[in-house]
Formats: sequence, structure tokens, C-alpha cells
Amino acid sequence: MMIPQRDIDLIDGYCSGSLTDDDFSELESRLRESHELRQLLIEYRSIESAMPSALASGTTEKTQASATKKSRVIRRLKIALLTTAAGLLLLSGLYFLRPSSEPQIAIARSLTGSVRWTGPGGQVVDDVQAGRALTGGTIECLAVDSSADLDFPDGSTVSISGVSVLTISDDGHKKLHLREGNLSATVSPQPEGKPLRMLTPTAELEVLGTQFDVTAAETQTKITVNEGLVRVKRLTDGKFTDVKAEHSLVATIEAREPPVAIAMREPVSVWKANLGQDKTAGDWLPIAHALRIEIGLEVRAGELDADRAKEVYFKRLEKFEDDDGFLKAMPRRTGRKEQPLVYLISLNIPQRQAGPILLSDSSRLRVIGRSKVPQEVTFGIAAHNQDRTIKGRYGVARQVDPTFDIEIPIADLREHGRQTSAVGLEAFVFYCFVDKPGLEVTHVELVSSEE
Amino acid sequence: MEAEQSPTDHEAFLRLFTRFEGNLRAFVASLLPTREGVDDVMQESSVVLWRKFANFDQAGADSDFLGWAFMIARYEVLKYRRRRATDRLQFSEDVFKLLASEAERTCTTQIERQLALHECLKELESKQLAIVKAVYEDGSRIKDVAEQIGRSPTGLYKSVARIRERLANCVRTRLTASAEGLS
Repeated sequence: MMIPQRDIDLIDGYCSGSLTDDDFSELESRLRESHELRQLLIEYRSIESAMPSALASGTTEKTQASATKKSRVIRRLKIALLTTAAGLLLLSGLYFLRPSSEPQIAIARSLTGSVRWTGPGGQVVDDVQAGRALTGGTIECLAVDSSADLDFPDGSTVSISGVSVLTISDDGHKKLHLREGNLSATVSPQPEGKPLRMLTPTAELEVLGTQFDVTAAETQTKITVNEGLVRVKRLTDGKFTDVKAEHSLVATIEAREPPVAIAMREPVSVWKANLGQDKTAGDWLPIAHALRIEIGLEVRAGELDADRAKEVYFKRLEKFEDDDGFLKAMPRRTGRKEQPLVYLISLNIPQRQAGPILLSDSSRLRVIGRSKVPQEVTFGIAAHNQDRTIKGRYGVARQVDPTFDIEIPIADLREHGRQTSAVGLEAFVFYCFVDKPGLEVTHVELVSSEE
Repeated sequence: MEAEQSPTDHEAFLRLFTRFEGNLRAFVASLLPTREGVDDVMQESSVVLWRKFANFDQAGADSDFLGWAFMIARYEVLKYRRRRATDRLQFSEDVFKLLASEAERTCTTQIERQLALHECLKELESKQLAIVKAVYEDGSRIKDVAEQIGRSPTGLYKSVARIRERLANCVRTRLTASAEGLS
């Protein structure tokens, strides 16, 4: 094989990534002409790709003699780790195998909407594709209409939907950390002594094999167990509760009462939001704070005498309930090119109810609020069927005035892109969003003429 | 339409993929310039292979799997190239096609190449072997290794190129000898 030195230099430059654009053009042109050169490139690249295995399959005495003691230990450790990881992967199913040193933990079976993956070393992937094998890392559903279904090698499945952040890891124990959002899991029986552990901001779950749903926010977590048993530890006081099938438990950040699992009741078709507790997106301003700001502004503007401020404050406060306030839409990136930013409010629906919230033909969504400018608001609900084989986001756009009190028949909500209806499904998230800032919501309710 | 997978499929896939993973990786490496790209495509390919494995005719020879796997990996490389269309060092379509069809032939003997390489590595001097390990085993960039060992990047690029050439010659000699029944 007689190859000019210049051509060999070009191949070397290509392999080391140091070619200039002109050199690369020259290499391309030479590769078109020369079979020998193509063969050399393929040989070099094949040898390079075999190098890690060839090195790992036998550390020569020469290397051991030349290396420092420290680097020997690190090298051996790396090889040992690689070997162990490979062994575990082979046992757990090769389709999760990736020829790097990071073991695969799960596979993204299906994804909708905007989903981000942050892998080892902080590598961020914004256009996660279905079928991607996942190492330890964090998967984020960035928008209200996003969802991600993950398959684990042992047959367990985990789905997150809505604005949700889930970190996965596996060091023999599966570990899930749901920082916020909605998760539904079907967990295959786990090895003895190695239950799946799941953390939320307010609870720790221990799962041996079951089907359960979790809704997590900063201040509370609701766990609903459909099959099997989940042991829940409330993080605030460390108290444990076993939640059995068809029971649910809310673990709050406050520990005023002992945690008690409640049997799931029959579905209901009405629900009223506690905006402060249920919000998962938006900025919550309790009424007392809002009134102080309002009165302060009036005093500053000379519209109200400072001496009367306190009296007026209490008088106005009397008209409100303790949990009244304003939930202000906050900017959220969607990851979509056509609408990169929205101002979003979202609420977890069944936070305090033991029974599911069933959407019927006669259900209506009532929302009261204000908007700085008249604009189109998208109102919607995330819902699934009883066995969670169908789930989606169902929304509709409505023009609102600066102050609005709007009722939307559930039958008007349609799944994005499919136009199917949410009637007959169980609701788990309410959301509304706009393009411009200035949307505030003071009341969200699901009403029904049946009840 | 993808058929349902069975536990037997799983074992069969495991056996075949383990056997030919090196061949497949070499094939992909022949078509892409960076290690990250190769890792990404291998990851995607392994998943697609598994998902479609129930449709693969297992009654044929094991080497049929390799041909099928090359075809899927080639498609995954094309997808990767489309995603990274603006990257430097992307071969144009005609060069890519030439390389892909020749790489399929060459990479069929990757297992033999790997065994030969293992022997050839033993023939390197200690210093050369240390460089190889730093660059290929730890996956460090040549620039970073140069900094760590106090050498100029250009000097180290040249050293790596010399070692690569030496190993390629050694591997080629061993493969030829083996094919002729001399070893």
C-alpha cells in the first residue's frame, strides 16, 4: 500500500480532529480518488475503536512498570468498575448497553412535548428522542403538555407528565427523585432488601413492587397506591405510614397531624383549588400580602390617609377567606420554537381529595382572575383514564377581559393535535397560560350540574 | 410494525450483540469523526436493533445479524449526520457512501483485528503505551494529555500518529499472516 505522506498526514489530522477546513476538503477529494486511502482511514478508525477493549483486556507489565502507583490504582479501579458495570448490564438486559463506561438505567419509550435530559457530567440534550437509552441523570418535562415514559430493564415503567423533574439513578437500588410534578409508576418486584426508593421534597417512598401515582410539589406530596404497598416516610418528622392498595396519603411539609392513609372514595366531579397549596407553576401571593401592597400604594399615592391604613386593611381583609390570594402566571420556557416562552399557572388537582376527579359531560371549569391586557388565554386540564393507558392534555383558548369570571364546559376542551375530548377521564392537573405577562388567577373550580 | 419480544429473543439478542458489538463500533467509527458521535450512534443503534429484533430472521447464520446490524447502524449514522449537518469534518454524501460500503467489508474481521491489536500493544515501548492509555483508555483529549505531561499538543499529535501507524502496520501484518496460515 503506497500512500503519499501528505495523504497519511491528512488522515492523521482527521483522526485527531485537527484538520483545517481546507485540509478537510483536500482529504475528501483524495478519498474520492483513492481506495487505498479509504482503506487506511477505515483501518485507523477500526483500530482506534478497538483500543479501549484491547487495553482493558490485558494491562501489560511494561505499563505497570512505568506508571505511578497512584495511576495504577486508578486504572485498575476503572477497569474493575467497567467490568462490574458490564456484568450488571449483561445480566439486566443488553439492550440497555451502551459501549461507554456509564451503565444504562432506563430507556425513554415515548416522549411528547418538550422534554430535556441532563446526563452524566451535565450533558444537556434538549431534543430527546424516543428510544434513547438513559444513564443516571435528570429528565424534565418542560411544558404542561409534555410527558415521558421510561422503561427499566426489569420491566418496571415510570411516566412523568406536566411540568415535572425526575432524577434517576441505580446503584443496585433504583432511586427516583421527583423534585416536582406528576409521576405514575408500575414497579416490578424488586430484589429482596433492595426496594426502589423515591424521594420528593416532603416524602420518601420505599417500593417493593406495586402500581402507584405521586404528585409532588414544594410543600406536599400525594401518594396514591393502586396495587401493592408503599411505605412512606414524611420527611418533616420522619414518621412512617404504610399505604396499601386503593389508599392515598398526603405528606405535607407541616406536620400538624399524624400522617394517615385514606381509602380512595368514589370519583367526584367537583373540585375547588387551594391555589397556595396546589400550585406547581406560578407565583403565589396570599391575600394579606396583596392587601398590604395595595394599601401601601394607595397611601403613597395620597389616596388614603396613613392613620387609617391599618383600619382599612382589616376591613378589607374580612371579606376574604384565609386561603384567598393571587396566583400570578410566571414565565416558563417551553422548548418549542414557535412559542419559546409562556406565562404559566398550573395546579395539581387531586391534592386533598381521596377520590379521583371525574370529568363528565356536565362538568365546567370556572376560573376567576384578571389580566393586565385583554388577551387570549389557554385553559386546560391534564387527565387520564382509570388504568392510565390513555392520558393527555386537553385545552381550549378563550379571550379574557382585564377582569374575568369564565366558565368552560369540559366538553369544549380538546387534546392538542388530536381533538379528542376529556369527558370520562380523571383530571390531575389544571393549567392556563398566555403569551404576555400580567395574568393572575384568584379562583379555580370544577363545577358540575350533577352535584 | 414491530413484533412482540420474548425472553428467548432477549437471550439471542444478547448473544449476537455481544459477539458483534466491536464490529459495529468499528463500522460506525469509520464513518464519524468524533468519539461522542460514535457513542451516540451506537447507543441509538443498539436500541433500534433490540426493538426490531423480533422481526429479524434468527434461523439464518450469525453473520446475517452483522449485515442487518450494519444496515441499521448505517441508517442511524445518516440520522446523526442530518442532526449535526453543520458540524465540521462531515464527509459529503458520495464519500460517505464509498466509506460505508468499504467499511462493512473491513469491519467484518474486527474481532481478529482486536486480537491482533492486543498483541501489537505488547510490542510498544513503555512511553508509547503510556500515551496510548492516556489518550484511548481514559478518553482524554490529546490537548489535555499534552498539558498534563508537559508536552506541546502538536508534538503529542505527531507521537500519537506515529504510534497509530506502527500499530496499524503490526495489525495488518498479523492479519495477513493469520490469513495465510502463518500464525
